[in-house]
Amino acid sequence: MTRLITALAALLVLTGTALAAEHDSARARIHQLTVEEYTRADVTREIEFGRQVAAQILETYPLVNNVNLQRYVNLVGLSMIRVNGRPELEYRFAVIDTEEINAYAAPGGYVFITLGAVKQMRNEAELACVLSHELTHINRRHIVKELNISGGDSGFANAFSRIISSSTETARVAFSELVDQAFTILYERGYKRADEREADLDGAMSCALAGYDPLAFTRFLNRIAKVNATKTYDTHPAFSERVAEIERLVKMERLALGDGRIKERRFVKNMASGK
Amino acid sequence: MLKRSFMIIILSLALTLPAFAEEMYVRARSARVTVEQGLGGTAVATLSRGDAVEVVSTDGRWVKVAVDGKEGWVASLLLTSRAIAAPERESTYADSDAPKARVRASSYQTAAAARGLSDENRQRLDEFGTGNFEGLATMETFRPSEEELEAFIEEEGR
Repeated sequence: MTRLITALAALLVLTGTALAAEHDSARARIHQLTVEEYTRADVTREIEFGRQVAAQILETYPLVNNVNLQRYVNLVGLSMIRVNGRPELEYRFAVIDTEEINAYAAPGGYVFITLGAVKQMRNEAELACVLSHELTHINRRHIVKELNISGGDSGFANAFSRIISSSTETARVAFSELVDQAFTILYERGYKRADEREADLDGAMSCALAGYDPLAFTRFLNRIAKVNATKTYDTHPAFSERVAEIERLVKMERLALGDGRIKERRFVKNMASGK
Repeated sequence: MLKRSFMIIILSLALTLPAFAEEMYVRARSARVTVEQGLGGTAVATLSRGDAVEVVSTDGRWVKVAVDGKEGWVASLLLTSRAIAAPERESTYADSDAPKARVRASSYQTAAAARGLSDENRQRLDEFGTGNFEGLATMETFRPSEEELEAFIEEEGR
């Protein structure tokens, strides 16, 4: 009898350990999907830093002087926020005046799309997908993580606080270096390949969840690949690779049900009012 | 002897079985919980931002959740492991909800204040940077009202 009970207890321990391991694995999977290990102080610093990067982007490229177009892009962007947004952030969108075909995301909620990119678009779904790609860079904190902007005593929040509460030349230089590093990512080196992939897939997924046709994204990518394959989006993986990945996701998750919105008429109307 | 043995079993259970309930929160404006994974599916519940759900399991980009005794799937993108930080956002959005808030000269200061920037630190940051802060202030006035956004989303037609 004692042996039987001991064996039963041992079995329970083993089963429990296995279940615990499975639970830990499930927890890890969940956290992999929604990794959000940051504090409120980190968010405040992220916004402060992002604001500087955004101001620097506008120093390089001015805003397109057309309020109707700007408001339309904000409406589309904010529609996407309802699906793909971090509740603690307030997002801003703007069209910047350059014929380059690109889009940028500054930490903290600032999204920019070039006039050149908007001109290449045929409908609202394409705009929504591109904005959502950029939103993912913000929501997944790609630049923030790449620059090691993390919480804790030795983290970015404290270092950043020390920088902005000091008016020394050293602090000014340190701050400029941080902004420069963000610019290197945005304009030269690009995001990590894995981050770009994540932005593509989250972007397409959220586009579908918002009711848009997610394949609009691949149609846009195919179009701009023909326009200028060597210079456009040269910080990203190859167009063909990106398109294949997005198409695979759409098929696997059954995201294209045939009733995804395109909103071509509304897009064309707003583009016309933007001229 | 038997009593002792039962104690061993109960202790074993207590030590080895972890708390399985993992709670997550809806971060999207709304989230459909469906019988099967995917966009179509029959909805068993529709959740709102901030609602808590109990995670049952995960499968790729989908999370199986339990809500009010019912189970169903929801896209992981719509969930967060963080409780929704309402106060900061509430003050920001309540402000921009006001009809007169469509385009306001003071929106720059209001937004900055809502984001936790003190006047002193904002000024210092602006001095640090060589950026176009006037352009940034203009950008912050493009935001439409919640009513406008609602009407835009509800507009019919493909």
